[in-house]
Amino acid sequence: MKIPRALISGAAAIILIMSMAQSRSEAGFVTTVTPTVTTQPGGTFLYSYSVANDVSSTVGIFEFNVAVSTGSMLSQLTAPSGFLSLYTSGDFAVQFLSSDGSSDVAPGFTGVFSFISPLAPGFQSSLTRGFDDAGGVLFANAGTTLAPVPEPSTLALFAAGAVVLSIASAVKRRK
Amino acid sequence: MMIRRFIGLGLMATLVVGLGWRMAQSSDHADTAENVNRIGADLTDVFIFPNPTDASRVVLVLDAHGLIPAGQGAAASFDPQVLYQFKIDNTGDNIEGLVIQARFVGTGPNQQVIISGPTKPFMKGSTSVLTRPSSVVGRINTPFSPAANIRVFAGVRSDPFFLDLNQFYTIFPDRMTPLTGAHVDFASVQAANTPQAGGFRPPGQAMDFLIDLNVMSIVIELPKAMLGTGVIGLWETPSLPTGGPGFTYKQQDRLARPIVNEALVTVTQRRHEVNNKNNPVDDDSQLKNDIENFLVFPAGRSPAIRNVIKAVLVPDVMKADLSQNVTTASYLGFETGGATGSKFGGRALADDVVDISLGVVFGNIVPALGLAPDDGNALPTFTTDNVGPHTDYLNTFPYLGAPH
Repeated sequence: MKIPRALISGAAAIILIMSMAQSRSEAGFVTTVTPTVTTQPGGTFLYSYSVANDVSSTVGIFEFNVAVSTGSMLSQLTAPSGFLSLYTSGDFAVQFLSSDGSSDVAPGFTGVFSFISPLAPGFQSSLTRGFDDAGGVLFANAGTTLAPVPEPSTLALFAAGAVVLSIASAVKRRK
Repeated sequence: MMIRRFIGLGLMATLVVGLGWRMAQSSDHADTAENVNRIGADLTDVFIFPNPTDASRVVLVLDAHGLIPAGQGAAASFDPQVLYQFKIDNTGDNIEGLVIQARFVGTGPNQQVIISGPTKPFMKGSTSVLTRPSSVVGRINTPFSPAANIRVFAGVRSDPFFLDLNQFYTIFPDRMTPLTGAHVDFASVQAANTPQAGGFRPPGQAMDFLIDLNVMSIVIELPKAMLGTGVIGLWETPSLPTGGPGFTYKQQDRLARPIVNEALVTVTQRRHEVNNKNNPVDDDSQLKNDIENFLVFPAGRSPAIRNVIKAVLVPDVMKADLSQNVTTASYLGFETGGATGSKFGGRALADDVVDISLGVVFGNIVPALGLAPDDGNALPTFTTDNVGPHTDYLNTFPYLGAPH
Protein backbone atom coordinates (compact mmCIF):
# COMPACT_ATOMS: atom_id res chain seq x y z
CA MET A 1 0.00 0.00 0.00
CA LYS A 2 2.81 2.44 0.75
CA ILE A 3 4.50 1.93 -2.55
CA PRO A 4 1.63 3.19 -4.68
CA ARG A 5 0.87 6.08 -2.32
CA ALA A 6 4.47 7.25 -2.56
CA LEU A 7 4.36 7.00 -6.27
CA ILE A 8 1.11 8.83 -6.54
CA SER A 9 1.66 11.64 -4.08
CA GLY A 10 5.17 12.20 -5.31
CA ALA A 11 3.99 12.92 -8.79
CA ALA A 12 1.36 15.53 -8.08
CA ALA A 13 -1.12 16.66 -5.50
CA ILE A 14 -3.94 15.12 -7.43
CA ILE A 15 -3.25 12.63 -10.14
CA LEU A 16 -5.55 10.72 -12.31
CA ILE A 17 -4.70 7.14 -11.60
CA MET A 18 -6.81 5.42 -14.13
CA SER A 19 -9.83 6.04 -16.21
CA MET A 20 -11.54 2.94 -17.39
CA ALA A 21 -14.78 3.41 -19.23
CA GLN A 22 -16.85 0.28 -19.63
CA SER A 23 -19.99 0.09 -21.68
CA ARG A 24 -22.62 -2.47 -20.84
CA SER A 25 -25.86 -3.14 -22.49
CA GLU A 26 -28.91 -5.24 -22.66
CA ALA A 27 -31.77 -4.58 -25.00
CA GLY A 28 -33.20 -1.20 -24.14
CA PHE A 29 -30.62 -0.34 -21.52
CA VAL A 30 -27.15 0.82 -22.58
CA THR A 31 -24.92 2.30 -19.90
CA THR A 32 -21.29 3.27 -19.52
CA VAL A 33 -19.45 3.45 -16.22
CA THR A 34 -16.32 5.58 -16.20
CA PRO A 35 -14.41 5.40 -12.93
CA THR A 36 -11.91 8.06 -11.97
CA VAL A 37 -9.67 7.68 -8.95
CA THR A 38 -7.66 10.60 -7.62
CA THR A 39 -5.48 10.99 -4.57
CA GLN A 40 -6.56 13.27 -1.79
CA PRO A 41 -4.62 15.10 0.89
CA GLY A 42 -3.82 12.64 3.63
CA GLY A 43 -3.36 9.75 1.28
CA THR A 44 -7.00 8.91 0.73
CA PHE A 45 -8.58 8.24 -2.63
CA LEU A 46 -11.55 9.91 -4.24
CA TYR A 47 -13.54 7.46 -6.32
CA SER A 48 -15.83 9.05 -8.83
CA TYR A 49 -18.08 7.18 -11.25
CA SER A 50 -19.68 8.84 -14.22
CA VAL A 51 -22.56 6.58 -15.11
CA ALA A 52 -23.91 7.45 -18.51
CA ASN A 53 -27.25 6.28 -19.80
CA ASP A 54 -27.12 6.05 -23.56
CA VAL A 55 -29.67 7.97 -25.55
CA SER A 56 -30.84 4.67 -27.02
CA SER A 57 -31.94 3.36 -23.62
CA THR A 58 -35.64 3.07 -22.96
CA VAL A 59 -35.45 3.40 -19.16
CA GLY A 60 -33.62 5.51 -16.62
CA ILE A 61 -30.91 4.37 -14.23
CA PHE A 62 -32.40 3.95 -10.79
CA GLU A 63 -29.68 1.98 -9.02
CA PHE A 64 -25.89 1.86 -9.11
CA ASN A 65 -23.89 -0.68 -7.09
CA VAL A 66 -20.17 -1.05 -6.51
CA ALA A 67 -18.52 -3.87 -4.58
CA VAL A 68 -15.91 -2.65 -2.11
CA SER A 69 -13.63 -4.24 0.39
CA THR A 70 -15.16 -4.59 3.84
CA GLY A 71 -12.35 -2.42 5.16
CA SER A 72 -13.02 0.42 2.75
CA MET A 73 -14.42 2.82 5.38
CA LEU A 74 -16.15 4.94 2.77
CA SER A 75 -16.97 8.54 3.57
CA GLN A 76 -18.39 11.63 1.88
CA LEU A 77 -20.70 9.64 -0.38
CA THR A 78 -22.35 11.76 -3.05
CA ALA A 79 -24.95 10.93 -5.65
CA PRO A 80 -27.26 12.75 -8.05
CA SER A 81 -30.21 14.54 -6.47
CA GLY A 82 -32.94 12.13 -5.49
CA PHE A 83 -30.61 9.18 -4.92
CA LEU A 84 -30.05 7.63 -1.48
CA SER A 85 -26.67 6.21 -0.52
CA LEU A 86 -26.75 2.90 1.34
CA TYR A 87 -23.46 2.09 3.01
CA THR A 88 -22.39 1.19 6.52
CA SER A 89 -18.77 0.67 7.46
CA GLY A 90 -18.05 -3.02 7.05
CA ASP A 91 -20.39 -3.50 4.08
CA PHE A 92 -18.97 -5.17 1.01
CA ALA A 93 -20.94 -3.02 -1.40
CA VAL A 94 -22.23 0.50 -1.70
CA GLN A 95 -25.65 1.01 -3.22
CA PHE A 96 -27.16 4.16 -4.64
CA LEU A 97 -30.91 4.16 -5.24
CA SER A 98 -33.20 6.67 -6.85
CA SER A 99 -36.26 7.43 -4.76
CA ASP A 100 -38.42 8.60 -7.61
CA GLY A 101 -38.69 7.98 -11.33
CA SER A 102 -38.11 11.66 -11.96
CA SER A 103 -34.74 11.35 -10.22
CA ASP A 104 -33.50 8.47 -12.38
CA VAL A 105 -30.60 9.15 -14.73
CA ALA A 106 -32.60 9.52 -17.90
CA PRO A 107 -31.46 8.30 -21.33
CA GLY A 108 -28.93 10.72 -22.76
CA PHE A 109 -27.79 11.87 -19.31
CA THR A 110 -24.97 11.05 -16.92
CA GLY A 111 -25.04 10.71 -13.16
CA VAL A 112 -21.96 11.06 -10.99
CA PHE A 113 -21.51 8.99 -7.84
CA SER A 114 -18.51 9.32 -5.57
CA PHE A 115 -16.94 8.48 -2.23
CA ILE A 116 -13.62 8.64 -0.45
CA SER A 117 -11.70 5.66 0.90
CA PRO A 118 -8.27 5.15 2.43
CA LEU A 119 -7.84 2.06 0.28
CA ALA A 120 -6.28 2.08 -3.16
CA PRO A 121 -8.15 0.84 -6.21
CA GLY A 122 -8.47 -2.61 -7.67
CA PHE A 123 -10.99 -4.30 -9.86
CA GLN A 124 -14.42 -4.93 -8.37
CA SER A 125 -17.91 -5.78 -9.59
CA SER A 126 -20.42 -3.11 -10.37
CA LEU A 127 -24.01 -3.22 -11.47
CA THR A 128 -26.31 -0.63 -12.95
CA ARG A 129 -30.04 -1.21 -12.84
CA GLY A 130 -32.79 0.51 -14.72
CA PHE A 131 -36.47 0.22 -14.06
CA ASP A 132 -39.49 0.73 -16.23
CA ASP A 133 -42.04 2.02 -13.74
CA ALA A 134 -44.88 1.71 -16.20
CA GLY A 135 -44.12 -1.79 -17.39
CA GLY A 136 -42.59 -3.08 -14.18
CA VAL A 137 -39.52 -4.38 -16.02
CA LEU A 138 -36.08 -4.46 -14.40
CA PHE A 139 -32.93 -4.00 -16.47
CA ALA A 140 -29.39 -4.69 -15.28
CA ASN A 141 -25.91 -4.21 -16.68
CA ALA A 142 -23.09 -5.90 -14.77
CA GLY A 143 -19.38 -5.34 -15.16
CA THR A 144 -16.16 -4.49 -13.39
CA THR A 145 -14.86 -1.16 -12.29
CA LEU A 146 -12.26 0.36 -10.00
CA ALA A 147 -13.06 0.33 -6.32
CA PRO A 148 -11.25 0.10 -2.97
CA VAL A 149 -9.42 -3.21 -2.67
CA PRO A 150 -6.65 -3.97 -0.18
CA GLU A 151 -5.87 -7.22 -1.95
CA PRO A 152 -2.70 -8.31 -3.74
CA SER A 153 -4.35 -7.32 -7.00
CA THR A 154 -3.99 -3.72 -5.90
CA LEU A 155 -0.31 -4.07 -5.37
CA ALA A 156 -0.02 -5.80 -8.72
CA LEU A 157 -1.83 -2.91 -10.38
CA PHE A 158 0.47 -0.35 -8.88
CA ALA A 159 3.53 -2.46 -9.43
CA ALA A 160 2.64 -2.46 -13.08
CA GLY A 161 2.23 1.31 -12.93
CA ALA A 162 5.60 1.66 -11.20
CA VAL A 163 7.28 -0.36 -13.93
CA VAL A 164 5.73 1.87 -16.58
CA LEU A 165 6.84 5.02 -14.75
CA SER A 166 10.35 3.66 -14.27
CA ILE A 167 10.68 2.82 -17.94
CA ALA A 168 9.36 6.23 -18.92
CA SER A 169 11.81 7.91 -16.56
CA ALA A 170 14.71 5.87 -17.91
CA VAL A 171 13.80 6.71 -21.49
CA LYS A 172 13.60 10.40 -20.58
CA ARG A 173 17.04 10.36 -18.95
CA ARG A 174 18.62 8.74 -22.01
CA LYS A 175 17.21 11.49 -24.19
CA MET B 1 -18.22 -10.41 8.53
CA MET B 2 -16.18 -12.86 10.57
CA ILE B 3 -15.62 -10.27 13.27
CA ARG B 4 -19.34 -9.59 13.45
CA ARG B 5 -20.03 -13.29 13.81
CA PHE B 6 -17.54 -13.60 16.62
CA ILE B 7 -19.12 -10.59 18.30
CA GLY B 8 -22.55 -12.12 17.78
CA LEU B 9 -21.41 -15.41 19.26
CA GLY B 10 -19.81 -13.59 22.15
CA LEU B 11 -22.94 -11.61 22.84
CA MET B 12 -25.02 -14.73 22.67
CA ALA B 13 -22.69 -16.60 24.99
CA THR B 14 -22.78 -13.69 27.42
CA LEU B 15 -26.53 -13.54 27.16
CA VAL B 16 -26.96 -17.24 27.78
CA VAL B 17 -24.69 -17.16 30.81
CA GLY B 18 -26.11 -13.91 32.06
CA LEU B 19 -29.64 -15.15 31.89
CA GLY B 20 -28.80 -18.36 33.66
CA TRP B 21 -29.26 -20.37 30.47
CA ARG B 22 -32.66 -18.86 29.87
CA MET B 23 -32.63 -20.06 26.35
CA ALA B 24 -35.04 -18.75 23.81
CA GLN B 25 -36.47 -20.02 20.65
CA SER B 26 -40.17 -19.61 21.29
CA SER B 27 -42.18 -18.16 18.43
CA ASP B 28 -39.16 -18.08 16.16
CA HIS B 29 -36.39 -16.81 18.38
CA ALA B 30 -33.00 -18.27 17.46
CA ASP B 31 -34.43 -21.23 15.59
CA THR B 32 -31.29 -22.19 13.68
CA ALA B 33 -27.62 -22.03 14.53
CA GLU B 34 -27.13 -19.85 11.48
CA ASN B 35 -29.63 -17.33 12.81
CA VAL B 36 -28.08 -17.41 16.27
CA ASN B 37 -24.79 -16.49 14.64
CA ARG B 38 -26.47 -13.63 12.78
CA ILE B 39 -28.96 -12.55 15.40
CA GLY B 40 -29.96 -9.39 13.51
CA ALA B 41 -31.36 -11.59 10.75
CA ASP B 42 -33.30 -13.78 13.16
CA LEU B 43 -37.03 -13.16 12.94
CA THR B 44 -38.99 -13.69 16.12
CA ASP B 45 -42.64 -12.79 15.43
CA VAL B 46 -45.14 -11.53 12.85
CA PHE B 47 -48.27 -9.55 13.69
CA ILE B 48 -51.01 -7.97 11.63
CA PHE B 49 -54.01 -6.28 13.24
CA PRO B 50 -56.36 -3.37 12.58
CA ASN B 51 -55.81 0.01 14.15
CA PRO B 52 -57.84 -0.34 17.39
CA THR B 53 -59.76 2.87 16.70
CA ASP B 54 -59.79 3.05 12.90
CA ALA B 55 -60.92 -0.01 10.97
CA SER B 56 -59.65 1.48 7.71
CA ARG B 57 -56.03 1.14 8.81
CA VAL B 58 -53.92 -1.93 9.45
CA VAL B 59 -50.73 -2.47 11.43
CA LEU B 60 -47.93 -4.81 10.39
CA VAL B 61 -45.17 -5.78 12.81
CA LEU B 62 -41.87 -7.50 12.10
CA ASP B 63 -39.89 -8.52 15.16
CA ALA B 64 -36.26 -9.60 14.87
CA HIS B 65 -33.15 -9.83 17.02
CA GLY B 66 -34.82 -11.04 20.18
CA LEU B 67 -33.33 -11.67 23.60
CA ILE B 68 -32.11 -8.13 24.19
CA PRO B 69 -31.76 -7.92 27.98
CA ALA B 70 -33.48 -5.25 30.03
CA GLY B 71 -31.45 -2.05 30.13
CA GLN B 72 -29.55 -2.78 26.94
CA GLY B 73 -32.10 -1.55 24.44
CA ALA B 74 -30.59 1.90 24.09
CA ALA B 75 -27.48 0.46 22.47
CA ALA B 76 -29.35 -1.85 20.13
CA SER B 77 -29.85 -1.24 16.44
CA PHE B 78 -30.75 -3.24 13.36
CA ASP B 79 -28.26 -5.23 11.31
CA PRO B 80 -27.39 -2.72 8.56
CA GLN B 81 -26.62 -5.42 6.02
CA VAL B 82 -29.99 -7.11 6.30
CA LEU B 83 -32.91 -6.42 3.99
CA TYR B 84 -36.09 -6.85 6.05
CA GLN B 85 -39.24 -7.50 4.06
CA PHE B 86 -42.95 -7.76 4.63
CA LYS B 87 -44.31 -9.90 1.81
CA ILE B 88 -47.97 -9.73 0.95
CA ASP B 89 -49.92 -12.06 -1.32
CA ASN B 90 -53.09 -10.26 -2.34
CA THR B 91 -54.16 -12.60 -5.13
CA GLY B 92 -54.27 -15.97 -3.39
CA ASP B 93 -51.36 -17.58 -5.22
CA ASN B 94 -49.08 -17.52 -2.15
CA ILE B 95 -46.54 -15.45 -4.06
CA GLU B 96 -45.76 -11.95 -2.94
CA GLY B 97 -47.63 -9.39 -5.00
CA LEU B 98 -46.49 -6.54 -2.77
CA VAL B 99 -43.49 -5.96 -0.55
CA ILE B 100 -42.53 -3.42 2.06
CA GLN B 101 -38.78 -3.26 2.48
CA ALA B 102 -36.68 -1.83 5.30
CA ARG B 103 -32.97 -1.19 5.18
CA PHE B 104 -30.81 0.46 7.81
CA VAL B 105 -27.69 2.58 7.38
CA GLY B 106 -25.15 2.97 10.13
CA THR B 107 -25.37 1.59 13.64
CA GLY B 108 -26.31 2.87 17.07
CA PRO B 109 -28.88 5.44 18.15
CA ASN B 110 -28.58 7.51 14.97
CA GLN B 111 -29.12 4.60 12.62
CA GLN B 112 -31.06 5.63 9.52
CA VAL B 113 -34.25 3.88 8.46
CA ILE B 114 -35.01 3.52 4.76
CA ILE B 115 -38.44 2.23 3.76
CA SER B 116 -39.87 1.31 0.40
CA GLY B 117 -43.34 0.20 -0.52
CA PRO B 118 -45.82 -1.23 -0.42
CA THR B 119 -44.89 -1.87 -4.01
CA LYS B 120 -44.61 -4.69 -6.49
CA PRO B 121 -41.30 -6.49 -5.99
CA PHE B 122 -38.70 -6.46 -8.74
CA MET B 123 -37.87 -10.08 -7.97
CA LYS B 124 -40.04 -12.69 -6.21
CA GLY B 125 -39.10 -15.63 -4.05
CA SER B 126 -36.01 -16.20 -1.94
CA THR B 127 -33.80 -13.84 -3.97
CA SER B 128 -34.59 -10.14 -3.74
CA VAL B 129 -33.39 -6.78 -4.94
CA LEU B 130 -34.11 -3.38 -3.51
CA THR B 131 -37.14 -1.51 -4.72
CA ARG B 132 -37.49 2.22 -5.01
CA PRO B 133 -37.08 3.74 -1.52
CA SER B 134 -38.91 6.66 -0.03
CA SER B 135 -36.90 9.87 -0.08
CA VAL B 136 -37.88 10.42 3.55
CA VAL B 137 -35.26 8.78 5.72
CA GLY B 138 -36.09 8.15 9.37
CA ARG B 139 -34.10 7.32 12.47
CA ILE B 140 -34.54 4.35 14.74
CA ASN B 141 -36.68 4.66 17.83
CA THR B 142 -38.47 7.67 16.32
CA PRO B 143 -41.80 7.40 14.49
CA PHE B 144 -41.85 8.95 11.04
CA SER B 145 -43.88 9.01 7.86
CA PRO B 146 -42.03 7.84 4.75
CA ALA B 147 -45.08 8.52 2.58
CA ALA B 148 -48.55 9.95 2.88
CA ASN B 149 -50.74 8.02 5.34
CA ILE B 150 -47.94 5.61 6.29
CA ARG B 151 -46.45 5.61 9.78
CA VAL B 152 -43.29 3.74 10.65
CA PHE B 153 -41.54 2.95 13.87
CA ALA B 154 -38.33 0.93 13.81
CA GLY B 155 -36.49 0.38 17.04
CA VAL B 156 -36.29 -1.49 20.29
CA ARG B 157 -39.47 -2.47 22.13
CA SER B 158 -40.62 -4.85 24.83
CA ASP B 159 -40.90 -8.32 23.27
CA PRO B 160 -44.66 -8.95 23.11
CA PHE B 161 -44.39 -12.73 22.91
CA PHE B 162 -45.13 -14.98 25.87
CA LEU B 163 -44.36 -18.65 26.46
CA ASP B 164 -43.06 -21.00 29.13
CA LEU B 165 -39.98 -21.56 27.06
CA ASN B 166 -37.95 -23.42 29.63
CA GLN B 167 -40.61 -26.10 29.79
CA PHE B 168 -40.96 -26.15 26.01
CA TYR B 169 -37.24 -26.89 25.78
CA THR B 170 -37.55 -29.51 28.48
CA ILE B 171 -40.22 -31.21 26.40
CA PHE B 172 -38.38 -30.86 23.08
CA PRO B 173 -34.63 -30.40 23.69
CA ASP B 174 -34.00 -30.64 19.95
CA ARG B 175 -35.48 -27.14 19.53
CA MET B 176 -32.93 -25.75 21.98
CA THR B 177 -29.82 -26.94 20.20
CA PRO B 178 -29.37 -23.92 17.86
CA LEU B 179 -28.25 -21.88 20.84
CA THR B 180 -24.99 -23.80 20.81
CA GLY B 181 -24.20 -21.82 17.66
CA ALA B 182 -23.61 -25.00 15.70
CA HIS B 183 -26.00 -27.36 14.03
CA VAL B 184 -26.81 -30.39 16.22
CA ASP B 185 -28.64 -33.46 14.96
CA PHE B 186 -30.60 -35.89 17.05
CA ALA B 187 -30.50 -39.54 16.00
CA SER B 188 -33.66 -39.18 13.93
CA VAL B 189 -36.65 -36.94 13.39
CA GLN B 190 -38.67 -39.23 15.66
CA ALA B 191 -36.05 -39.00 18.39
CA ALA B 192 -36.10 -35.22 18.06
CA ASN B 193 -39.89 -35.20 18.31
CA THR B 194 -40.07 -37.46 21.35
CA PRO B 195 -41.31 -35.46 24.36
CA GLN B 196 -38.95 -35.58 27.32
CA ALA B 197 -41.60 -34.42 29.80
CA GLY B 198 -45.23 -35.20 30.37
CA GLY B 199 -46.53 -31.75 29.55
CA PHE B 200 -46.35 -28.08 30.44
CA ARG B 201 -46.09 -26.82 33.99
CA PRO B 202 -49.23 -25.95 35.96
CA PRO B 203 -50.27 -22.39 36.81
CA GLY B 204 -48.04 -20.99 39.49
CA GLN B 205 -45.06 -22.96 38.28
CA ALA B 206 -45.15 -21.89 34.62
CA MET B 207 -42.82 -19.00 33.79
CA ASP B 208 -42.97 -16.40 31.02
CA PHE B 209 -39.45 -16.44 29.67
CA LEU B 210 -39.78 -13.22 27.64
CA ILE B 211 -41.46 -11.07 30.26
CA ASP B 212 -38.50 -8.70 30.64
CA LEU B 213 -36.68 -9.03 27.32
CA ASN B 214 -36.65 -6.69 24.34
CA VAL B 215 -36.76 -7.11 20.59
CA MET B 216 -36.10 -4.99 17.51
CA SER B 217 -39.44 -4.10 15.93
CA ILE B 218 -40.48 -2.62 12.63
CA VAL B 219 -44.05 -1.36 12.98
CA ILE B 220 -45.85 -0.07 9.90
CA GLU B 221 -49.36 1.36 9.95
CA LEU B 222 -51.08 2.20 6.70
CA PRO B 223 -54.50 2.22 5.04
CA LYS B 224 -55.78 -1.29 4.41
CA ALA B 225 -56.51 -0.26 0.85
CA MET B 226 -52.77 -0.04 0.17
CA LEU B 227 -52.54 -3.81 0.65
CA GLY B 228 -55.80 -5.00 -0.83
CA THR B 229 -59.51 -5.26 -0.28
CA GLY B 230 -59.96 -8.93 0.54
CA VAL B 231 -57.97 -11.77 2.07
CA ILE B 232 -54.22 -11.35 2.11
CA GLY B 233 -51.40 -13.65 3.14
CA LEU B 234 -48.47 -12.10 5.02
CA TRP B 235 -45.02 -13.47 5.70
CA GLU B 236 -41.74 -11.80 6.52
CA THR B 237 -38.13 -12.39 5.57
CA PRO B 238 -34.67 -11.07 6.37
CA SER B 239 -32.16 -11.39 3.54
CA LEU B 240 -28.41 -10.95 3.33
CA PRO B 241 -26.53 -9.27 0.48
CA THR B 242 -24.68 -11.46 -1.99
CA GLY B 243 -22.43 -8.67 -3.27
CA GLY B 244 -21.28 -8.58 -6.86
CA PRO B 245 -21.84 -9.40 -9.58
CA GLY B 246 -25.58 -9.84 -8.96
CA PHE B 247 -26.03 -7.48 -5.99
CA THR B 248 -29.03 -9.42 -4.81
CA TYR B 249 -30.24 -10.41 -1.32
CA LYS B 250 -30.61 -14.04 -0.26
CA GLN B 251 -33.34 -15.07 2.17
CA GLN B 252 -32.07 -16.15 5.59
CA ASP B 253 -35.25 -16.75 7.54
CA ARG B 254 -38.99 -16.83 6.90
CA LEU B 255 -41.84 -16.41 9.34
CA ALA B 256 -45.60 -16.10 9.29
CA ARG B 257 -47.66 -18.22 11.67
CA PRO B 258 -46.05 -18.76 15.06
CA ILE B 259 -45.41 -22.22 16.53
CA VAL B 260 -45.43 -23.95 13.15
CA ASN B 261 -41.90 -24.34 11.84
CA GLU B 262 -40.57 -23.61 15.31
CA ALA B 263 -42.52 -26.16 17.34
CA LEU B 264 -43.85 -28.76 14.92
CA VAL B 265 -40.64 -29.08 12.92
CA THR B 266 -37.36 -30.46 14.19
CA VAL B 267 -34.03 -28.75 14.06
CA THR B 268 -32.59 -32.17 13.25
CA GLN B 269 -31.73 -32.71 9.59
CA ARG B 270 -31.80 -28.93 9.11
CA ARG B 271 -35.56 -28.94 8.73
CA HIS B 272 -35.92 -25.43 10.18
CA GLU B 273 -33.28 -24.12 7.84
CA VAL B 274 -34.92 -25.68 4.79
CA ASN B 275 -38.26 -24.10 5.60
CA ASN B 276 -36.65 -20.79 6.54
CA LYS B 277 -35.00 -20.46 3.16
CA ASN B 278 -37.75 -21.50 0.83
CA ASN B 279 -41.09 -19.93 0.01
CA PRO B 280 -44.75 -20.50 0.87
CA VAL B 281 -45.26 -22.22 -2.47
CA ASP B 282 -42.70 -24.82 -1.33
CA ASP B 283 -44.56 -25.64 1.89
CA ASP B 284 -46.76 -28.24 0.26
CA SER B 285 -43.72 -30.41 -0.49
CA GLN B 286 -41.61 -29.56 2.56
CA LEU B 287 -43.31 -28.05 5.63
CA LYS B 288 -46.43 -30.17 5.10
CA ASN B 289 -44.41 -33.37 5.52
CA ASP B 290 -42.83 -32.04 8.70
CA ILE B 291 -46.25 -31.23 10.14
CA GLU B 292 -47.57 -34.63 9.13
CA ASN B 293 -44.68 -36.32 10.95
CA PHE B 294 -45.40 -34.38 14.13
CA LEU B 295 -49.14 -34.97 14.02
CA VAL B 296 -48.55 -38.71 13.69
CA PHE B 297 -45.99 -38.69 16.46
CA PRO B 298 -46.01 -37.36 19.13
CA ALA B 299 -49.49 -35.83 18.64
CA GLY B 300 -51.09 -39.13 17.52
CA ARG B 301 -53.93 -37.46 15.65
CA SER B 302 -56.34 -39.20 13.32
CA PRO B 303 -55.94 -38.80 9.55
CA ALA B 304 -59.06 -36.61 9.47
CA ILE B 305 -57.73 -34.22 12.09
CA ARG B 306 -54.30 -34.23 10.50
CA ASN B 307 -55.78 -33.24 7.17
CA VAL B 308 -57.69 -30.33 8.71
CA ILE B 309 -54.61 -29.03 10.51
CA LYS B 310 -52.42 -29.31 7.44
CA ALA B 311 -55.04 -27.55 5.33
CA VAL B 312 -55.02 -24.67 7.81
CA LEU B 313 -51.27 -24.39 8.38
CA VAL B 314 -50.02 -24.99 4.84
CA PRO B 315 -48.86 -22.82 3.21
CA ASP B 316 -47.37 -20.89 6.08
CA VAL B 317 -48.79 -17.41 5.55
CA MET B 318 -50.65 -15.25 8.04
CA LYS B 319 -54.15 -14.80 6.67
CA ALA B 320 -56.04 -11.58 7.27
CA ASP B 321 -59.36 -10.56 5.77
CA LEU B 322 -59.11 -6.86 5.02
CA SER B 323 -62.76 -6.72 3.99
CA GLN B 324 -63.79 -7.08 7.63
CA ASN B 325 -64.77 -3.69 9.05
CA VAL B 326 -63.44 -4.43 12.52
CA THR B 327 -60.85 -3.11 14.93
CA THR B 328 -59.69 -6.41 16.39
CA ALA B 329 -57.59 -9.27 15.09
CA SER B 330 -57.65 -12.87 16.18
CA TYR B 331 -55.11 -15.55 15.35
CA LEU B 332 -56.65 -18.19 13.02
CA GLY B 333 -59.85 -16.14 13.06
CA PHE B 334 -60.09 -16.13 9.30
CA GLU B 335 -59.47 -19.86 8.97
CA THR B 336 -62.04 -20.73 11.67
CA GLY B 337 -64.75 -18.32 10.56
CA GLY B 338 -64.22 -16.17 13.61
CA ALA B 339 -64.23 -18.98 16.18
CA THR B 340 -61.10 -17.58 17.81
CA GLY B 341 -62.57 -14.10 18.11
CA SER B 342 -62.52 -12.08 14.89
CA LYS B 343 -63.03 -12.95 11.25
CA PHE B 344 -60.26 -10.51 10.43
CA GLY B 345 -57.77 -13.19 11.46
CA GLY B 346 -54.21 -11.95 11.51
CA ARG B 347 -52.61 -11.84 14.92
CA ALA B 348 -52.97 -9.35 17.75
CA LEU B 349 -50.17 -8.71 20.22
CA ALA B 350 -52.11 -10.30 23.07
CA ASP B 351 -53.33 -13.35 21.14
CA ASP B 352 -52.34 -16.50 23.00
CA VAL B 353 -51.00 -18.15 19.89
CA VAL B 354 -49.25 -20.81 21.93
CA ASP B 355 -52.44 -22.05 23.56
CA ILE B 356 -54.40 -21.77 20.31
CA SER B 357 -51.75 -23.77 18.46
CA LEU B 358 -51.35 -26.34 21.21
CA GLY B 359 -55.11 -26.67 21.40
CA VAL B 360 -55.30 -27.34 17.66
CA VAL B 361 -52.46 -29.87 17.65
CA PHE B 362 -52.93 -31.63 20.99
CA GLY B 363 -56.44 -30.64 22.05
CA ASN B 364 -60.03 -30.79 20.88
CA ILE B 365 -60.30 -27.53 18.95
CA VAL B 366 -60.66 -29.21 15.55
CA PRO B 367 -63.40 -31.65 16.67
CA ALA B 368 -65.10 -28.90 18.68
CA LEU B 369 -65.40 -26.81 15.52
CA GLY B 370 -66.99 -29.74 13.76
CA LEU B 371 -64.17 -29.96 11.25
CA ALA B 372 -63.30 -33.59 12.00
CA PRO B 373 -64.52 -36.36 14.32
CA ASP B 374 -62.99 -36.57 17.78
CA ASP B 375 -60.22 -39.16 17.69
CA GLY B 376 -59.98 -39.45 21.47
CA ASN B 377 -56.27 -38.74 21.29
CA ALA B 378 -56.12 -35.31 22.88
CA LEU B 379 -53.23 -34.80 25.29
CA PRO B 380 -54.54 -32.26 27.85
CA THR B 381 -51.20 -31.67 29.56
CA PHE B 382 -49.83 -30.30 26.28
CA THR B 383 -52.72 -27.97 25.40
CA THR B 384 -51.67 -24.90 27.40
CA ASP B 385 -48.40 -23.54 28.71
CA ASN B 386 -50.30 -21.63 31.41
CA VAL B 387 -48.65 -18.32 30.53
CA GLY B 388 -50.76 -15.31 29.59
CA PRO B 389 -50.27 -12.06 27.67
CA HIS B 390 -48.02 -9.26 28.84
CA THR B 391 -49.58 -6.13 30.30
CA ASP B 392 -47.43 -3.49 28.59
CA TYR B 393 -49.08 -3.36 25.16
CA LEU B 394 -50.14 0.11 24.03
CA ASN B 395 -53.43 1.23 22.50
CA THR B 396 -51.64 3.69 20.27
CA PHE B 397 -48.79 3.57 17.78
CA PRO B 398 -46.36 1.77 17.94
CA TYR B 399 -48.50 -0.56 20.07
CA LEU B 400 -45.62 -2.65 21.43
CA GLY B 401 -44.63 -1.77 24.97
CA ALA B 402 -41.72 0.49 25.86
CA PRO B 403 -38.41 -1.34 26.18
CA HIS B 404 -37.42 -2.75 29.55
